[in-house]
Amino acid sequence: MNSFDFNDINENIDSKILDIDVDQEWNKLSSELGFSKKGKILRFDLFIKIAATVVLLLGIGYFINYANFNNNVVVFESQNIPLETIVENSTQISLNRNSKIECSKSDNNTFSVNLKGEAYFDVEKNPSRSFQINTKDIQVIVHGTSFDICENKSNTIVTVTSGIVEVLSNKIKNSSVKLTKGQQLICDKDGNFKTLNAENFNNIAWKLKQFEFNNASLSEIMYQLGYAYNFGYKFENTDLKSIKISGSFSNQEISSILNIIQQSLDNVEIVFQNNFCIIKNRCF
Amino acid sequence: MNLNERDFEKLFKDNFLAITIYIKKIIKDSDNAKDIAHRSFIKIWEKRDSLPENSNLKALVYRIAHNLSINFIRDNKKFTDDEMLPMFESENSDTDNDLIASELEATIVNTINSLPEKSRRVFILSRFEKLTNIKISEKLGISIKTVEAHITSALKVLRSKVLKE
Repeated sequence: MNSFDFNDINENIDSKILDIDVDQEWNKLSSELGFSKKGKILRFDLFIKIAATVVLLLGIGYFINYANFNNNVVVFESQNIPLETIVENSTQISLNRNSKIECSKSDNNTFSVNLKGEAYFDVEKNPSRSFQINTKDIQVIVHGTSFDICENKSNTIVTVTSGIVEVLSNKIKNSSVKLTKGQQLICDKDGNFKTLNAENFNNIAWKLKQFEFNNASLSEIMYQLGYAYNFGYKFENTDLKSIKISGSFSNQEISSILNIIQQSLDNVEIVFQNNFCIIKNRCF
Repeated sequence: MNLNERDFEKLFKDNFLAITIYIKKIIKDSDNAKDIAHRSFIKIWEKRDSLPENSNLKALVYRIAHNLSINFIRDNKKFTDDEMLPMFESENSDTDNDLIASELEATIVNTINSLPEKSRRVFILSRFEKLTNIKISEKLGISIKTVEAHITSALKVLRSKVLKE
């Protein structure tokens, strides 16, 4: 420590760290915690109540502002774990990691959702209102069905698991495609559609917890399971990664899936604890 | 355990910087590091009732920060293939060293930020932006002797603070 050289420190410390103001960060955190949890939506309701009171007190001058509040935009945002939400009584929207939806209802009974990221929709059938989802590239019109929309950097993928949905491109006029159960639509950056039959629903296993592996490698399987069940893993021996397995799982506990995989292989041991999985050679 | 807002505030203010630096070492991204540091503290606050009495909260924040960082690396490889995998799979054996280094760096940053404004500015230009003393004197319109004096006094303060820790 005596030979501490201050020329070394600029290797490690960058100016962004120097700019951090701890007091300011504390203020941010304490207002976020509010020291009463439950977040934005409650506060928004309170805001409407206050706004309504203000309107009553101050009269007609504020009426236009109040009408805007009445549009009732509700925002949900997920961070590093998927988030389940229920809107419009019984429509379920599950957000994958780092995704955001803004829900609003307009006067002509259209319920619309703006989506960023990935979400799985389970929409209740209701002929009295129309339900639509907008993303950067596409518009999806829903009639009572379940499906997933995933916005990637290079494309947007719609996967339908039940019922029918209608997809419109934002970039190409009059392009409308109807998708039925098991179909998948890929929309590229230029707005072109490609429809295909989904081989499996592994891409939405984060929600459905359904997997179908057809001669897949153990490293791919662990990646998919780790992503869907939110755990980390490590191969003690890299040779084990290339072992091929086929099989399907539906809505099972992760421990029982790992158990089945282990039992089907005679040289592999899978240890799962504290949300971390170690795959190693079995010792006799 | 019984954790009141005041103790939590102290825990936060004493450790936020070091935790952020620690996370940055793992995920190599300072913007997200701050975010994850925030979430680590939020976790502690949310879980305070289920923690055993006399828990070592500082150690716990580091542990949570470490786990969240690993999760962050995993979640952000969503659209890349195998290239990030080795990073995630190899366990970080340097955890203890990282922890000590993070605390040391936090002490340094705190000390630099507590210097008088002029000294702080001169010191940052000299050690972080690697300007020569002549350039600094031209930039700030002060004499080279003054620049040298600022650096010497800054180093003196730093040395005494760092060696004391």
